[in-house]
Amino acid sequence: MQHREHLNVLMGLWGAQTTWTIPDRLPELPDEDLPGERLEAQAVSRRLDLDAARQEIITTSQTLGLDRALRFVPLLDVAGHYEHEIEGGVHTIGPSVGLTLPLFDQGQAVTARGLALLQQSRLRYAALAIRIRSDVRSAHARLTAARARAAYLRKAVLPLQARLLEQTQLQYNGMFTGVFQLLQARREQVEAGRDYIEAVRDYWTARVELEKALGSRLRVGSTPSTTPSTLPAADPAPPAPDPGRMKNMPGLPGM
Amino acid sequence: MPGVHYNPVVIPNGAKVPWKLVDGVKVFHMVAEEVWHEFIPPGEGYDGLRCKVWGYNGVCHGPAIEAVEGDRVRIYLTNRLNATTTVHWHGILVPSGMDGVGGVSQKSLAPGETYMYEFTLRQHGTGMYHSHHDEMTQIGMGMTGLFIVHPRGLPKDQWPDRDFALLLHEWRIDPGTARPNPNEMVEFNVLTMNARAFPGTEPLVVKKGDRVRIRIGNLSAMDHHPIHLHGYQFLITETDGGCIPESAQWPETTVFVPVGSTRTIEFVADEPGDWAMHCHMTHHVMNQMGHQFPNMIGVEPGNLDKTIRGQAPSADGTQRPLLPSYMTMGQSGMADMGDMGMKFPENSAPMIGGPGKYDYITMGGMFTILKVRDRLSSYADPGWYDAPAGTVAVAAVSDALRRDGIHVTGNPGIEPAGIESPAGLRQFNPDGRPAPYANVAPKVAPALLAGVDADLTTIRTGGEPVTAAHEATGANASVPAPSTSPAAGQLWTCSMHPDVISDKPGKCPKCGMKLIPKQ
Repeated sequence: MQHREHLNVLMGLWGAQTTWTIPDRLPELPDEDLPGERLEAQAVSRRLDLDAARQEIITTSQTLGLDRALRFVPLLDVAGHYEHEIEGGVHTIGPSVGLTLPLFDQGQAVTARGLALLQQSRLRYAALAIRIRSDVRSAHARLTAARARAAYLRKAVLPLQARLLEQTQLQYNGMFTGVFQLLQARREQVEAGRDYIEAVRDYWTARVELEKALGSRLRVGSTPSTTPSTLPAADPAPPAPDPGRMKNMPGLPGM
Repeated sequence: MPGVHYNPVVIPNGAKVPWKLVDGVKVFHMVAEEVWHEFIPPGEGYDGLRCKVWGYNGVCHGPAIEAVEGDRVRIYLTNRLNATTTVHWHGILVPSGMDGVGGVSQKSLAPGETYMYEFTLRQHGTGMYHSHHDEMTQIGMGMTGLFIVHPRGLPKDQWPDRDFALLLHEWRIDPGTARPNPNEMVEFNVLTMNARAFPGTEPLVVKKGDRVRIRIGNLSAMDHHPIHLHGYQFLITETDGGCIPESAQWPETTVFVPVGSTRTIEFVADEPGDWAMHCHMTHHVMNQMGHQFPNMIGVEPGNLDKTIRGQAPSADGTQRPLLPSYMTMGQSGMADMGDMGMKFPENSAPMIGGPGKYDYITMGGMFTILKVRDRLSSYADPGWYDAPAGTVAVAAVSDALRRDGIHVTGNPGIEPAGIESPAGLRQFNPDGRPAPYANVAPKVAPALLAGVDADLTTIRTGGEPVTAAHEATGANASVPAPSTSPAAGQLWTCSMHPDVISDKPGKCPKCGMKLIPKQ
C-alpha cells in the first residue's frame, strides 16, 4: 500500500486514476531492441536538458552580438557645474557634458566575457551530449545483457531443469534415488524459474533506464500486446526536434 | 582334444577362443577392443541393460581359453583399444617374461600393436586372464576371462558329466549411462555371473545323477562372493592353486570366492528341481535399485501423495501440483517394485528380478538357477520345474489348520531356550550327576518358574486351547474367527508383580518381564 501510494504521488495520480492494476506476469521480452547507434542519435535529438543547453548557447550568442554592436556607441555624461572663488569673488556656473571616446576602452573586456560565456555554454553542451551518448550506450549494454541472461535462462536453463526433474522422477520411480533428491530437483527447477522471472524484471528495468537516457519511449521492439500496466499515457511523445535549429554549430557531438 | 581328454566346459552366456593346431602348437588370437554388451537382454517385464565395455573378440567378458595340461599354447594379443594394455595369465604357471605384467614382465602394447605369448601348460585346473595394465580401469571395464586347463589322460569314467564355469564381476553403471564407471570403489550396483545379471543369466542344466563340477572365478574389483547353492551339499575340490587332497575336502553349501581366486565345487545331482545359486551378500542379488534409497520402511505418508500431486490442498490451503506423478514408495521394502509397470530411465535395470513360475522373482544380480531334471532330451533350458503334487509349499487349508491346532490370529508364543529353559535350569543329583529333565526342581523363584511353565503351556497349545465349541460346530470352515482370540476372558499378570493385571499378553510395565496367564 505504501509503495502504491508512493507511486501514485510520483506519477501525480488522483481520483479514479488511482485504481490502476498490474498484471500477474511480466510481459515476455520483445523480439529485438534498437541498435545502439541509432539510439544515441535519437537521444541527443530528444533530450530536453540538451535542448536547454542548446538554447543557452543561442542566448549567449545573441547577448554577445548585442555587445559587439554597442561597443562604439559613446557614453554621454551630462552634469551641472558650479564654481566659486572666494579670493577673487568669481562665481562660475554652467552645465558640463562628458563624452566617452573609445580611444582606449573599445569594449574588449565585455566582448571577451561574452565570448568566454559562449565558449563555456558550447562546451557544456558538448559535455552533456557526450554524457548522454555514454549513458545511452551503457543503458543499452545493460539492456542487452539483461536480454541475453533472460534468453539463456529461457532457452537453456529452464528446459534443462525440466529435463533434470523428469529424469530424477524416472530415477525415483526405479528407486535409484530417494524422495529428497526428487524434491531437491523440483526445488532447483522452481529456483531456475525464479531466476528467469528476475531476469525478465531486470530487462524491463534496464529498458526503463534506457528510455530515461533516451528522453523518450522506445518504439522498436515495441511493448508487447500485454502491456505491463493500465497506467494512463502520462508520457506523450515529445515534439519532433527542429533539425534546422543547430545549423550554425557544426562539429558538436550533438549533431 | 574334446572327447579325447575332456568334456568341454560349459560357460553360461559365455564363449571360447577358437584355436588351430600349427606344428603341434595350439594357436589362439585375442583382440582387445571396446564392445557393446548386454548385461540383461530385454524380456517380458523388463527392457534390458546394455553398455559399451571393454572385452576381447567382440564379447565381454573375454572368451574362455580351453586347453589340456601339457599343451604348448601360442596366444596372440592384438590391441584395438585406444589405451595401452597387456594380458596376464592369472594362476597359470608361465615363464616370468610371459606373465603379462605391464612394465614388470614386458612392455605394454600400444594401440594397434600385436604381441605373442607362448608357453607350455604345466598344470590343470581353473585359471583366469585379465589385463595387467591400468587394472582398475581395464578390469573395471570388463577385460577378464577364464583359462580352463583339463588334465591329460584322465580316465573317462572320472570326467564330470557336466563341467560349468562362472566368472564373477561387479560394475558401477548409473541408470541411463552408456559405460560402466571403473573409478567406483565401493558402491557397485550391477553384480554379474559371466557378465550377466539375473534375469539375464542362463541356467545350469543337468540331468539327475550327473556328476557336476562348477568352477567359479572372481575378478570383481572390490568384493568377495560367498556363492550359495540350494538343495545340495558339495565338496570344494580345487582352488586356482590346484586340487585339494580328498582328505582335506569338507562339505559346504556356500563357497567363498575371494577376489582374484577360483574355487571348484563338485556334487552328484541327485535331487531334481530348480535350485537357486547366488551370492549370499544381499546387496549382490539386487540390480541398480535400492542401494541409494533412503529408509522408507514403516513411513506413513497419509495425504502427502495427493497433496504433492495437487489433488488435495496443502497445509496453507493452496492446491498446486508439486510433482504430478509422485508416489511414496518403499514403506514395505523393494519387493513390489519389479512388476509395478512404472516408467524408468532409459537403459536401466531397476527391477529386482523377473517373472518366475509361481510369482515374481525378487532376486537380481549375481543369481542363477541350477536346473536338475529326471529326463532331458537335451541340455537346453527345460523351462520351470514341475514339482510333484504335494511337494510344493501352498497356502494352508482349514483342515490342516484345525488338525494341528493352528490359530492364524493367535500368538504361537516362544519356548525359552536360554538360562530359564529346562536345560538351563537342570539340577544335579546329590551324587553330582545331572538330574533327569523330568525332575527339575525349582532353583530360582517359584514365580519365575511358574512363568516358564505358563509359556510352555502356551506354546504346546498353540497359544490358546482349542475350544470344544469351536471343534464341535466347525462353522467357520476356513480360518478361526478373531473372536476366539486368547484375549477373551483370559487375564495376564506378572510373576513378580501380581498387582499388574492385563487383558492381553505383553510385558510387565514395572520389570519388563513377560506377562503370564493368570490362573
